[in-house]
Amino acid sequence: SLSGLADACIDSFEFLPWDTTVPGLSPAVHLTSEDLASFLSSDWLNDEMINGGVDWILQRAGPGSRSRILNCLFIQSLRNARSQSVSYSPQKFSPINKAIRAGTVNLVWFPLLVSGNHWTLLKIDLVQKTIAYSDSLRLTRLLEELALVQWWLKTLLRSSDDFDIVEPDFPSPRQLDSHSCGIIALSILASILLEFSPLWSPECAATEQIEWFLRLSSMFEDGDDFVSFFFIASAYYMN
Amino acid sequence: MSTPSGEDVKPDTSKIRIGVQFNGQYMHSSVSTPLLFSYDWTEVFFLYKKTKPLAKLLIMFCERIKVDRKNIRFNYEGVNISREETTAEDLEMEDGDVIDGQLWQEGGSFER
Repeated sequence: SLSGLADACIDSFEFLPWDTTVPGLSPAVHLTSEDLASFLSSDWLNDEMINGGVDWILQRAGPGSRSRILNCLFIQSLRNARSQSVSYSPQKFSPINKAIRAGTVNLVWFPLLVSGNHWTLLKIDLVQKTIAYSDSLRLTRLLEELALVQWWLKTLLRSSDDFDIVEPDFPSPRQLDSHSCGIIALSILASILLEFSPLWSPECAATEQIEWFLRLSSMFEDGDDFVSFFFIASAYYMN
Repeated sequence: MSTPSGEDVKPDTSKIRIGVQFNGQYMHSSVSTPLLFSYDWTEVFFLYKKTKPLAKLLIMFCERIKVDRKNIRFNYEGVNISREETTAEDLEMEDGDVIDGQLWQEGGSFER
């Protein structure tokens, strides 16, 4: 219940440091207690909060999962790479790039900021060679971002064909407020990769915010258990 | 290497060339959040001590391109360089390696 979750939040204030970094997350994430507190407000989610939630999901999905989630800042890495070279040629090939090229990944999910202010979600199906785009506001169309992703995939897969753009084959809740798009993206990912339910809905928006606060707060209690795994399976590093 | 007087001088191996690159894009502009941002791709190389915290180098870079440090996330090979004490040695950086700078992101809707 909402009141039970609220009590759990209040209890967590007993052990949460007020000014530190959340432990147990990958080196790609620098989530602070201040970011953590923002989950309980109607503040917009920043990249660290999205990447923190993604990291939490990936740790629990385990190394055997054939799904990966990209760091949300990866789109800017692609922009940097595109501005320097005709083909995608990073300094060093990251684990996700190696995994895609080796065919050990089937699905790649990509939380994507569009128009500089709205979190959306891409699903890249490497088997069907399709890309599906989910926008909780149903208002945006991807152009530049999609071109960058196609460019990246074509180089990685040594292919000249674009992936087909298809409608999402996963539930995509409709956002009615002005701040939930980031939580919706995390909720969709948790429902698919971890089979969490229920999926985000306008009615449970507050509950979902508290749930994410509590999930990431729990890293202060058990964070170290997952660190070693993540150094091995850090498959969504940028660049 | 030797000095004019003929004495041998060992090259300073404690320093390496570290590049920092940044390609700002735009943040949405609306009535309530007028956050326009645009910056052409830039790359700057520094000769820097491997054991010195990178925080100072990143501040120098931000000052050079006149962008507030708070607006950029820096990472090297997927490692977020946000901790004040992180050094090039910690990250096992080699001469000529480049740190990637990316614009800070935040989203919720089209209007606050």
